[in-house]
Amino acid sequence: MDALPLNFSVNGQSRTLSVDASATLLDVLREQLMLSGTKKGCDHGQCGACTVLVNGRRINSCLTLAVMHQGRSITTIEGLADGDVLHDLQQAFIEYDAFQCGYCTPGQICSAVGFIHEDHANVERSRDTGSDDKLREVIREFMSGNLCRCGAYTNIVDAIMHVLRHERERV
Amino acid sequence: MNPFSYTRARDVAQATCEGAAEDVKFIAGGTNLLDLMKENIERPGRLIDINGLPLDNIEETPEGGLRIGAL
Repeated sequence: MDALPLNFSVNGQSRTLSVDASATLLDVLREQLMLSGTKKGCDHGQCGACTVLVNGRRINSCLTLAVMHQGRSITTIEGLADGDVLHDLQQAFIEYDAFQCGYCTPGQICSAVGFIHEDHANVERSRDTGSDDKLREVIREFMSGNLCRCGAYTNIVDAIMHVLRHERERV
Repeated sequence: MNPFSYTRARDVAQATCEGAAEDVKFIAGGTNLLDLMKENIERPGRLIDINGLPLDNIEETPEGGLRIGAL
């Protein structure tokens, strides 16, 4: 197979690469760009450990070809912090003890970042009318693509809820 | 996955013409096709990426209906 040119932005940095047509975005991020924060869990789009953001939207990087992202902006777990200042979700995951082995964690956090920026009417209503139980339900539903074999789900939901509530107050 | 060639469609006419050939598949999101290709259930020799095509519109038709783009 021939190598194809690929120009895109990764964590704010413009990159020019030569990739195989069959190389997934996941493999290019990990093997060519040495950004090993994003994990390969199942490689079939079922576990969510490979979740990254493309133009701000979350996807499973194992089920997309790198070449399909010509000109786009990719954000991985490595790109969330602002220098030494952690992203709100990273900080919340620490404060709420939302990980054990940490393998699913980069995917959980990237997925959560995508989620909080999604226009889900239910989330808005839940945030405004205030039932914690209802909001937990919505978070669980929209985070259901990210599995955690250690079972840190309760604390993951708490961490995300903290950021959702806190964001609302800041606005 | 089997080796394959990859191109991006320039326009709908080109895509439909080239996509009619055997052993060619369109790819859009790819979450279904790539999954099957990883299991060697689908083995296209060529992928045509249709993501750049203007097919993501929803328009009203004169008859009062809707035309929903494939993307």
